[in-house]
Amino acid sequence: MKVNCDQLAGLLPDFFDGDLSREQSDAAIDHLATCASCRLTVDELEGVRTLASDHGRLELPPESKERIRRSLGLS
Amino acid sequence: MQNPEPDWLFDTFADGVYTLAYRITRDRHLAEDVVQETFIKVIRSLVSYRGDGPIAAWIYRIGYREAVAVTRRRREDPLDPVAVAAEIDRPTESVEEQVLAGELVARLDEAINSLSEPVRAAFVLRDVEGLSTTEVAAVLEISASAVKMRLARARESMRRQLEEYLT
Repeated sequence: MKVNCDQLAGLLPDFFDGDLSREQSDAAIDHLATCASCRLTVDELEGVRTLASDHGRLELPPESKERIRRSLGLS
Repeated sequence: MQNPEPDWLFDTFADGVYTLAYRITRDRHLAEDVVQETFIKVIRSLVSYRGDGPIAAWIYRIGYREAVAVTRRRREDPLDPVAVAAEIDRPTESVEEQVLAGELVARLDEAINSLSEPVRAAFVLRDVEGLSTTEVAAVLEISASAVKMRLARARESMRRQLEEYLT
């Protein structure tokens, strides 16, 4: 099995989830080994995921957390 | 199986529900209200929770429904993402890290806010909160393939908007 750039793009959600079949995974890796443009895209998409997990999360302000805890009757 | 304690649930999921609620409502105070309402419902329903699905998905689903409902009740003008980024609380960082991350965080917030609400919800749950695709599908009550389509759209949009920070 071989994939081109468009076909690889369609496989990427499953690629990131590790849900590709062995055959699809091998085809994706083979394509990435020879296509700098797709390699850059995959690297950047990985970068988006890293940015999101490192900087996208928020914390409830401590005073709000305490107020809500009290309103819920928690210790 | 014994149901988890309310204290543990709140400590474990309050920040995650707040993150999701803030990303949906784009309003800190509304997001806090969503957290409160979500945990009132969680604690009330805990006795009937049968443990037949991941508890994270169950809690986030309640929070998501609540966030969507309050957003529909109160439509607001788009907020200034830089001001919003400065206002909201984040995990503690050093002063230097805060300065370095300030612009990036503002751009990240802007990019997340630019996504449509259904796409944003899938992205926040999967890539910010780290739920599995199956769990995100359960929260949003859509198929796993629909989640993947939304994620592909979100990540591609974010990649284009944040390109300068990704290389």
